[in-house]
Amino acid sequence: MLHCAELRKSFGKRVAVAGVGFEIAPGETYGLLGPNGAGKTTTISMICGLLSRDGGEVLVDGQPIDTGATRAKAVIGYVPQDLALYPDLSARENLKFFGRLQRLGGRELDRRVDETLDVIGLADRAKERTDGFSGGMKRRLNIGIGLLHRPRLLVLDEPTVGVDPQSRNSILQSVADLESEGMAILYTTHYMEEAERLCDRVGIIDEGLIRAEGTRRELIALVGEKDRIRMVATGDLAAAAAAAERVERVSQASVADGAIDVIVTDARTILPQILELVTAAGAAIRSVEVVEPDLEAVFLHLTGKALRD
Amino acid sequence: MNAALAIAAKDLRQKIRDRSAIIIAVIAPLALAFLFSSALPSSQDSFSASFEVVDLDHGPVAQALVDGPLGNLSQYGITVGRQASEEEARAKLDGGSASVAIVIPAGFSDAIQAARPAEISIIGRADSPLSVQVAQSILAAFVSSVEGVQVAVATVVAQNPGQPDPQIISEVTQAALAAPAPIKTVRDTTSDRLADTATYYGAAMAVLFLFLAAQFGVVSIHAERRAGTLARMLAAPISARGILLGKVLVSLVLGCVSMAIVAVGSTLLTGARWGDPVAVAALILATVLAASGISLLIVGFTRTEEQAGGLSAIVALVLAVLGGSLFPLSQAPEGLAQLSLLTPHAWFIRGINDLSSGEGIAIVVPSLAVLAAIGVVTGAVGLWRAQKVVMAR
Repeated sequence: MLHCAELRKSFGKRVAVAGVGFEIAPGETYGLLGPNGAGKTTTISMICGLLSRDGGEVLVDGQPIDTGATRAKAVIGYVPQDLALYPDLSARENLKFFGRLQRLGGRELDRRVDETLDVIGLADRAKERTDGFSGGMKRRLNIGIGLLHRPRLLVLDEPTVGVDPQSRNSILQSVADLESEGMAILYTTHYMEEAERLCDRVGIIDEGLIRAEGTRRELIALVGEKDRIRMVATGDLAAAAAAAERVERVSQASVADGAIDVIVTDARTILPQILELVTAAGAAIRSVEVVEPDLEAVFLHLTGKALRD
Repeated sequence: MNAALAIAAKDLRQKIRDRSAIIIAVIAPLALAFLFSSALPSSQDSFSASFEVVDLDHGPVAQALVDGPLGNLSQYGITVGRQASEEEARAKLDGGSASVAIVIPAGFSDAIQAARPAEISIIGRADSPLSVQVAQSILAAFVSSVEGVQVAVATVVAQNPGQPDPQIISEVTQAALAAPAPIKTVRDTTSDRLADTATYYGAAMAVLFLFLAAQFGVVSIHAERRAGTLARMLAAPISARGILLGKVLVSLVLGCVSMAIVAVGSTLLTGARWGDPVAVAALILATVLAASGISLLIVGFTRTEEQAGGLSAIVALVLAVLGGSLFPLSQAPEGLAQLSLLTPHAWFIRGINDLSSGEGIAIVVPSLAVLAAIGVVTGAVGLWRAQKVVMAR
């Protein structure tokens, strides 16, 4: 659905994007994960034809996109990072206006507006001016405008920034539902949890370059990180740790602060075996926590800095 | 085009909800037009003065002056009284009940009929220079006919050497005074085609506030950028030019509605007489085009709402002063009158003045051509620049 290659953009002497390229298939959610200033917004601005590029190419559904590609933009739905709404218009009026820009009209436009209001949960507030909406409601409307014309590629630029946890969860669920409907989604974020929850593949971007790309598991494997099982227990903890260390794929088992820490590859598949051995060795387990390596760790490994720097 | 119409419709809905646009586009110009035309003295509608005539001559030439040029002044708002002596006339002047005294000395007619020099005194009050000028003009015209009398008398004397018959001299004098002027001048200058006060202020306020109202359309492109909605528009299948077209449509609609309401409102409220409706409509459209072009130009050379709003206000005010929106150009120095030809305001007001003669659209063709040219040139340069502003990040 989306093919972009060697995208480059500089603002004066500052290089914002230095050769970014990736592809997204229909029905796939691709996350562009990186800290603020990594080049995410500049990249998607070029993909949406909002910004001229210094080099590279963008194809959406086989059609080249640039700032003058008016018709081709119809297949893209763009949800900007900042709220882009008219506060003195109602939710319905906002949707209808942007729908008309997408060349919708008449009953078809009314039908799409009603559907979108249902999807974003604002049907009962449709006639109210948006300046009276909560932040979460505005965010949902911001996304709804991008969905209204049923784009084949939906581009969301950090759509949950500044959103309360409840609305954030609602937004993420909405995005997940869209993927299941076959829409290709490009999702930029600097929240590692969102990328892990939503994205089929993730591109880690920093200083205008994609540092690594793949599924979550591929990225973690790329850096060789292992899982950690932490068991709070009573009894003979030293014997229990020794028993656990004998299991294949366990690289280390140790005792600290009334708990046994086991470093292991693919903890979820081997956890039952470890629990059985530890119990047999005389430990009474009170709680178990599995800590898997995350994209934050991958980012740290690849760039030497934290995502929220 | 549909997208441009959608933008225009959305903007107009917002402007209607935002009362400030209605205040600036409609209420303020109407209120000021009403205020100015009601409160300020008219310099064009009427002239009034009071002349006192002292006829110490009682001869035929003096009688011809009193009954002729001085006798017809009431239709021009000048009352003419008679006094027996210069002292009585001066008392009237001193008392403020007269502005000019005209004293015809004894022997005036005899001097004319004998082809000798003669004189008439004009005594004017210091605070009535215009009345004195009017009296001088009237007497200057009369002097021309007196010269005809002297020529006729001289001819009779030349043909009848010796002592001419007084009866013949008197008849010749009467005939010469009664003869129509051989050359009749017809006044048809632009200064004669001046709209009345109510119409002038209606037109002046309409064009002044047009330039403030027009910015509500085009200049809002900066507000769209700040709000992030411009980027959202650009992500839709619409070009930068299409977006600007939508904004220009808003300026055109707001401008035309504003001026049309002020024209109708001033007609009903202050009795303004704008002239031929078709010609007025054409003038309004051409002026709105010019205002929209200039607004687009301002957008093209600014980066923020604040810059554009400030510059628009300055441009509107400067053009209004230069163009005669704040005071009639007939009262302006010659240099300013020349400079005013660079402004749409002057051409619009000139068009309305031209229409006061009662003629149709043909008489405003020069104004229409200049206004349209201003609109096209500024609009073209503005569009070229504003597209860069729209696409800039």
